[in-house]
Amino acid sequence: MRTILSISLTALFVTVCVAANAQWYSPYPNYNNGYQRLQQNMERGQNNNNQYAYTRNGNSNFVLNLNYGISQPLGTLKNYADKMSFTGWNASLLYQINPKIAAGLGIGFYDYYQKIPRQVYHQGNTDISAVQSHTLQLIPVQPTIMFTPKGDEPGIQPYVGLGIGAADVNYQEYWGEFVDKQNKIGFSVSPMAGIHIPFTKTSPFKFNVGVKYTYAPFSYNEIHNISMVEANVGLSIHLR
Amino acid sequence: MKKLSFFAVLFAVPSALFLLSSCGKNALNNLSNEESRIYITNRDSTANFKSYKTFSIVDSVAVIQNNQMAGMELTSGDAQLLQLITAQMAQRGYVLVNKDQNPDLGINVTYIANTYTNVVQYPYDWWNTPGYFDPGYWGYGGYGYYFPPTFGIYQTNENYMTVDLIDLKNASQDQKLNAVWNATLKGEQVLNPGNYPSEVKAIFDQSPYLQSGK
Repeated sequence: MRTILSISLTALFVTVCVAANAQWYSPYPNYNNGYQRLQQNMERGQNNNNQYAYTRNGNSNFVLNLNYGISQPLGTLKNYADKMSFTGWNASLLYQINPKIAAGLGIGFYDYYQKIPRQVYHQGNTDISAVQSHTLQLIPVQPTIMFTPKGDEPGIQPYVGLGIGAADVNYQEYWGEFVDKQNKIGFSVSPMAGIHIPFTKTSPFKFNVGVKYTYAPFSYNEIHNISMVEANVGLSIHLR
Repeated sequence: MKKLSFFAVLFAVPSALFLLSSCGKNALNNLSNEESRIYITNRDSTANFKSYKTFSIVDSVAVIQNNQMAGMELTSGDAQLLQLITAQMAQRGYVLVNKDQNPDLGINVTYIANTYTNVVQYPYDWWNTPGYFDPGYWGYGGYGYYFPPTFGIYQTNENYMTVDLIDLKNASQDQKLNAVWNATLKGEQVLNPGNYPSEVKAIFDQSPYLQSGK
């Protein structure tokens, strides 16, 4: 299943990138002549002699973000599965309301796992010897808003964002091969921050490096509220 | 072209969500047969295990199949199992006696093998319920899913073993044979005689209170 997922995600990623890139074209050749640059700006109604005035990356208002994330469980989730998770993804499709603010929908997937060697668990007059396997999948689906203070300015663009919505939490605690499971959909919130690094001045692609914290008030057995922090890298693609 | 790109994304994002949600780590793939087994022991908190001095054990193993008594058996594996339990009890200071010598404790050993037949019905009940993929997702709004009505049958097996310590010493007080301790062993290959030594050792190791006062 993991192989199928990897192949599918890779195919998905490539498809989106090709679809976005195939429709991108440089609106003007790279003139070095100041007169030609001025002429281009005038054609776009931007007679401000700003050499980057025509570098808007894409002409739709939609931005797709695809990120791979490494996440560290915190709090009681760390007690349940203390290992850092290398199985995390998030994606968002945002509408650029203005150069500084974008809003849309974000989704994510985070998988936590820990196997505890055989030991005896005492519960009143009952003792259970078992190898425990702890798994938990967290799937937030959140309306998201992102603020980029520098707007369309060239260069590295820091951003902050906030996602508030729901999360599907799939808890499975195995005693040997016997499972105690719980699945709940509840509230979740994810503040985030990071930087976008444009590939080129005119490319619709930007490299993303960010951090994101997620909180979901899920309680079951030893878990009392889920919180985790994620470091992610990926692409931000301005769709055309 | 702009539409193509936007709709590609509209398709891609829900697809990614679906793929991601269906893929968590499968813990069972990461377990050996030994790790799949669990050993559960319970005790009567009012029992004073030091007060018992002698015990006797059944001469064969009861086999329960599908919640009905299938008979008694004594294969070489069964004999080995009874011997292993006897040895553990002896190590705890309990003395083996014949059942006609008024033992303080009696030990019952049982195998349980239940087979469950499960039926899955097509079309699925949830096909046309809200929340499932609306046919409009495939571009056929207003349609419904259909598959010729049929049934699929599959079976699941559940095998486990129980060991019960019965209080014979105090039986006459309330006309009941109270179990003061029991063990349930479940999981893959739990009824494989090759695993009996480690299984029996485990249930006694986790019950240190099983100790005769002599």
